[in-house]
Amino acid sequence: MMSYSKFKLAGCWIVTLWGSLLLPVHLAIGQSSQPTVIQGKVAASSDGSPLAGATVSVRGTNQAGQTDDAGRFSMQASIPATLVVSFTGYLTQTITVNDSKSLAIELVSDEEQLEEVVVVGYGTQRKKDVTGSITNLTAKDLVPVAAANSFDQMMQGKVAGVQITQTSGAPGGNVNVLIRGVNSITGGNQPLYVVDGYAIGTGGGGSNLSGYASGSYSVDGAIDASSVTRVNPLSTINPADIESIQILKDASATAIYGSRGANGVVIINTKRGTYGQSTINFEHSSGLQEIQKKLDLMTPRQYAEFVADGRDNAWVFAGGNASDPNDVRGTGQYVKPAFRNPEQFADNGYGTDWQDLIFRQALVQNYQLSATGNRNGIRYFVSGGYMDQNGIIIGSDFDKFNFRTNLDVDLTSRLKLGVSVAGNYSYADVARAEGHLQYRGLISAAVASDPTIPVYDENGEYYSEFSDVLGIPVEHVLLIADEFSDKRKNANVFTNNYLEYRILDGLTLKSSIGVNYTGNQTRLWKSSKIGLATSRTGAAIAGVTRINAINWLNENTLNFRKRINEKHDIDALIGFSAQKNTDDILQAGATDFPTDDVPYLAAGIVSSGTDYMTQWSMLSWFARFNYSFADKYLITGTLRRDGSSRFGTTNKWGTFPSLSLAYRISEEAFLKDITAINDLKIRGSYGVSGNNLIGNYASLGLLGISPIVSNGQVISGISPSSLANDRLGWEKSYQTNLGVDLALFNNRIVLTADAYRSHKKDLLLSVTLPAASGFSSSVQNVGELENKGLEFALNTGNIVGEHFNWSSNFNISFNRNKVLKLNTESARLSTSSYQVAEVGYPIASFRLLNILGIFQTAEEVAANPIQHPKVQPGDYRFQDADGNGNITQADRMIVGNPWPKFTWGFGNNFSYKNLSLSVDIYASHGNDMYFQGGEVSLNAAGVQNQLAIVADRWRSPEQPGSGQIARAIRNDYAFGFSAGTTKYLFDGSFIRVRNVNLAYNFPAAVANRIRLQSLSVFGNVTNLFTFTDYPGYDPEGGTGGDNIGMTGVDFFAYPNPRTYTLGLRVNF
Amino acid sequence: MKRTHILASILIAASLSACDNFLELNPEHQISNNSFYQNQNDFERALLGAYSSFRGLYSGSAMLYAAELRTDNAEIHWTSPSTDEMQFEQNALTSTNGTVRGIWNTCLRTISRCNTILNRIGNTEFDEQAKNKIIGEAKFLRAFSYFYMVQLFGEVPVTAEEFSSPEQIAEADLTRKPVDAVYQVIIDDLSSAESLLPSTLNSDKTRASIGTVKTLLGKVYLTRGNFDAAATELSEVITSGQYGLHADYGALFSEGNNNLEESILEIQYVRGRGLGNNYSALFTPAITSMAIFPNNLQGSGRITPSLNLFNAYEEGDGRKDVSVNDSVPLINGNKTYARYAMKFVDWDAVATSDGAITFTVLRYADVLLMYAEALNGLDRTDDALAEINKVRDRVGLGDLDGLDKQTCAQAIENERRVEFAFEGHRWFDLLRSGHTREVVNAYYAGKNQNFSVEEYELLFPVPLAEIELNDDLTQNEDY
Repeated sequence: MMSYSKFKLAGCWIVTLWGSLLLPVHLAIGQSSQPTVIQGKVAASSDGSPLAGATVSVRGTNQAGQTDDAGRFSMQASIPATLVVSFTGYLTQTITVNDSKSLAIELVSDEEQLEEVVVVGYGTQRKKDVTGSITNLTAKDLVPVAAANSFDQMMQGKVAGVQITQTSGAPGGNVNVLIRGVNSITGGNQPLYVVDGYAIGTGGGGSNLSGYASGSYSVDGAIDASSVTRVNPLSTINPADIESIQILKDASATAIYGSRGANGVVIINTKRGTYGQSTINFEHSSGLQEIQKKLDLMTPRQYAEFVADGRDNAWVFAGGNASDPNDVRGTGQYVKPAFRNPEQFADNGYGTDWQDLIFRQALVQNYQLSATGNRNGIRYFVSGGYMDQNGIIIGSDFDKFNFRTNLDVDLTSRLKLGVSVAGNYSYADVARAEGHLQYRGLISAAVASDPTIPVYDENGEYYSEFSDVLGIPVEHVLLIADEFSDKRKNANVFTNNYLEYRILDGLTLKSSIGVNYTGNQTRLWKSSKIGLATSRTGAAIAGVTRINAINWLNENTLNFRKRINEKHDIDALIGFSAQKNTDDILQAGATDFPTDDVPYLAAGIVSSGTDYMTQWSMLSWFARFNYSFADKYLITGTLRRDGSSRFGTTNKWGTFPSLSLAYRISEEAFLKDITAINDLKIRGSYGVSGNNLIGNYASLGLLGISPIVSNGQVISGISPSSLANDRLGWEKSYQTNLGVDLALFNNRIVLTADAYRSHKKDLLLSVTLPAASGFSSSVQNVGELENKGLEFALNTGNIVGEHFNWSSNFNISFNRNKVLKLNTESARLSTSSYQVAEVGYPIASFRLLNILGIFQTAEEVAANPIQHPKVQPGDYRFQDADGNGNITQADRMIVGNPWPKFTWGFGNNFSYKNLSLSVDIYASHGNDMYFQGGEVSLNAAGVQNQLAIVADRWRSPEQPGSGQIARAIRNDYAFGFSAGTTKYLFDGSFIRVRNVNLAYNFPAAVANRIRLQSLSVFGNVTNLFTFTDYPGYDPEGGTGGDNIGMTGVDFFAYPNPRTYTLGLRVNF
Repeated sequence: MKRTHILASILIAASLSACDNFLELNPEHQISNNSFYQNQNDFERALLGAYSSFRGLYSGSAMLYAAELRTDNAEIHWTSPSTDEMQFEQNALTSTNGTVRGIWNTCLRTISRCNTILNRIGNTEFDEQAKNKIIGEAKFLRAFSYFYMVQLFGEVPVTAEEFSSPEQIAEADLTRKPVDAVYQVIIDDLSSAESLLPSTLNSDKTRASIGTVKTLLGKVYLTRGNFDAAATELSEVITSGQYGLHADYGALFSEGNNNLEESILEIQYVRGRGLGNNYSALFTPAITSMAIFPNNLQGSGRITPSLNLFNAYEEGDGRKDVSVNDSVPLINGNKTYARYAMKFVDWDAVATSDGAITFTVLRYADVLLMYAEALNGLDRTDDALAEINKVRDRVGLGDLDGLDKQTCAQAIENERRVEFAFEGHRWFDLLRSGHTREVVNAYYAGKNQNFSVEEYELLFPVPLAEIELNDDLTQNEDY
């Protein structure tokens, strides 16, 4: 009840505000004046030629018309009136008419215009006036990647300083976006996304899959697992609706977003109607997806030899003889009799490749229909889309519907109204792809399965030796696919509306209010035909999670723009915003299902459930001041104050200032005459932004329920669940940026270079507390880290001809991340089972036992530190990092990190007449990957099937193999297959031909003949080639999802597919 | 006119924003630290919270790994044991062992919950008797946890503070205290609980009564070699008449064993609520076609009885058939050889990791055998034999007599082994008798295994993660 009344309170002031805004509307509408005939001529500014078919409308009325062949128009209007003149390919012009004399209007062509406008926080700026670091992507940069569910996938490789990783190839799967490196250790690292001015929060949303599968065996586990986000929340924004994307990188650009700007800001603008011609656009594409590469596994014969080898070695280790029969051995050392004659198995080509059972060629289809234009002074963009993507792993499938309506209306010459309504509905079947085979991870089970056994038995049933003491405990992959299900639905309704009132020329008040509603449902099911880790079968369980999220935002800005004496440009803004978010979560689970036929809770006994609500709220004041003198000296200052419900009582409000300067040297007299230089600008900025991505109630000391059983009844005890921290506050990012913009030779060469350093302070760390405190951890503002980097973006027009054009864009980014401070000097925070944050090293550095080689002789063993008295030749030799003479887990040392030394993107666009070809390459260098899947398929334990490289293992000093893989043995006394050694660490560098697109635009004459404005067809291949040494499926894969501390850990992540697409685009 | 409207509206917005309570959001679904701990009910619930943490020691595998798997009683019979599990079976623990850390954390968490209760209860006003009962039980749980820890880890951190801010934790003294000092805390807590708890028996055996306190105090004194004090405490339990041996030994470990007269402290479980135990999985074999459970359920064989334990039962000992078994009925009607323990196994479980059979932490037979041990320590060997024989009588074994002090001590040790097999006593009993290395090393040798318990391995390593958090925390020698 309490929050409801607060909502009403907040609602109250918005109504008041809007009411007071609407009053002048009525006043304005009520004004009366004389109708007059206005006439004139519209011509091109370049050569004065008349423009036929230009649209002339009177703002605030439904008066509109088109120019005739001589460029003339005539219409009735009440003066004073504002005319809006628009024509395709030309900049729209607005003219105030005070008398009835004939007008001569000249329109400036788009191409002559270098004054590209970029959207910055709460406004727009001419690109040439920008003093911060902003990258602008427009439609031409955003070639739709056919199977792209979300726009972030389309940005990959296109923006210097932005690392985009698609960690899951599942339909709608997770994408990580990092702007200028990792900015936070435990808080979120995803940038703030702002759609048409509405901050929708972040991407990601807890898609960490590492613990996903393990928990979903119990009813409570099923409930927990169903809270894991497995569908990228950004997929609610239809890529086809996007007009442009701006990426704000430095503090000068992001500080206006205050406590949410530290990770960078991505501003997305959807398409809106223009005064130009009305068109209807239809687009369709169909594609085929396939696995990029299968893993090269051991042959049946190699497998048989390997199993016997590993188990014999274990039996010898236990004191037996390799020739001893099974009945004297322990079960772990049994060898299947058939494997004693490996020759009976073919060397290759025979046997079961279980990968073929789970991977498939899968269809993706996309339909988009939109209409845009202008009618009676109302500009509209209306779109609808449908996408159906099957995944390349059986049982994965994603369907999505999108709708959007954007309207802009001139109510009077001073008052403008805008309405946006967007809806989205998706449903997904998610495959149980990732994770350990014990948890029935499909990929891991397929790779691990015995290649010598058949898929079906003689009765046509699934064949598995799971429960055979001589077999291996891997469940049949098709049974896994059959008996688990994971279904997700998501509905999203978003509306954002504004009123914009021009109080005076140059002074504008804008007020907007929006609501974003999301309803989300996840349904997990495990039938009774499939079991727990070690059991073949187990009770059926089901878990359901429903989340209703409502977010509202009210923003009010007052903007003043003025050019004084043709030299002084002033652009000032102040604003106020309030936002509140409420998530209602209801979860339940059931078991004891009498049948497997009905996977709904109603068909079982509901045994577990919870219901809770979590909220946050923010209030903000902000201001920005831009001033430029003679287009030469530019200065921008911003200031924001944010108050947030998330932080401690003594630290509720934070202040975020920034200042930036730019100097356009090309405007100086001594450079003005050098025609080769079109633009040369140097920029510098410094500012502070923040990051508030932590739990909603992290500053409070809360109590939780601790149940016990007494007299056979469950009763609830109460116990402390979190430690209070009144001082909890924002993470702060202090960022310096120096940049240069250079355009040469008629803008044929455009270079942007930036250097930056950001120093993050007060990072929120979950500080592990001594167990004696009674708490396991508490969130505190203690950490510091640093990102330093260089970014270059180069756009060149290599060949600009009448028929043939070739342009290139190249960008490269270097980022160095270093942890500067943790809670204590020697502290080491685990960010994953294998990764730590430690002072002096990049965050999420891999800390592992370092393998130096393989012992070849007993003398070598005797001369080196070892972990067990029975270490023998053939076992790994580890580095004794602490120098104490024996090998223990304390010898783990930092051996690498998942962050690339540099990434680059290289795009080339070729066009010949109506044919165009684009090729985009994306590459990452120097990043390490921990192939956790190797713990199953490289462990050399003599159990599961292995990657083919294990066949080349150590067997004897005479047969040392490749030197990479120790001897096969079932025991782990020598850390031979222990998790957390460099055995599983690989170079994750790759170069990927990300996208190849060939398009043909039919000539206008052809299109017109079939009554179309335009017609084009295209063919596209995504992920055509990948060059990498990484042994797993996909060097981009990661099972940590958007948990940045687990970046670079791949436990058989769902691989990214290769996709071949054909499509067509029609305008009519 | 218009401008004034707009200005006014901005002012309205501004004044509202000044209302900071827009930013004061409390979780409506959770209880806040500040509004709780007010009345008797709150403290009752907080005490249950402490019991809930205490359960953690027993409900999973921790206590059984620590006290059974490491001894001659049990071994792993499972193809994929984890490194942590192997370390227990082989007595080769490292400071990164997750189970060791779990025990450390669980004990200290229980202690901290008790500290919160004991620190806060003084500031409230409610019925004195009820208050004393809560204080007494909290002190019992705290003492139990310290006792468990001091036997396993030796020196441990001791604090009575309630922590309410990061700063306070940073300033606190959380270094390990000498073993004698820890025992003093334990004895003080139990003596205090003895004086606070009502003399009547609490019919709910999941909660400590005065008899529970005396039993534990007797065990503590016995462990310290103070036979006199131990005998006093234990004889008080016996003469109270509140407890007795249950006639049917087998009934102690199967469905319906709640609140039996033999039970002194127990932990109860229910299925399907996340409040089951793991014994059915731990104790039974990893054989898929077994017919011992409905639904073809399978165990994991992680703690299976050793052949050595099988042979430790005397001929005619009624305990053997209800404690252990070596014949597994299969679905096809055949039988196969595999050893497994039967105590606390829930034969009706829906999932083997979710059993509902009550576990008995302390029971009357323990009191009798401890009393015998104390008497024997006081050179009253004949009186000691009389106590042992009460336990033997129940299971159809003949009386012992005519033993000297040393053979009597050995007889008690043997009796305890079979009486309490798989109940989490063996390791502690061996420690008390000083036989751990001798017995366990002989057991390994008997199995032709190259493992051993070294002197330093009589103590657990301190979890490395805790040492990394707190530089002042020392590691046990040789780890």
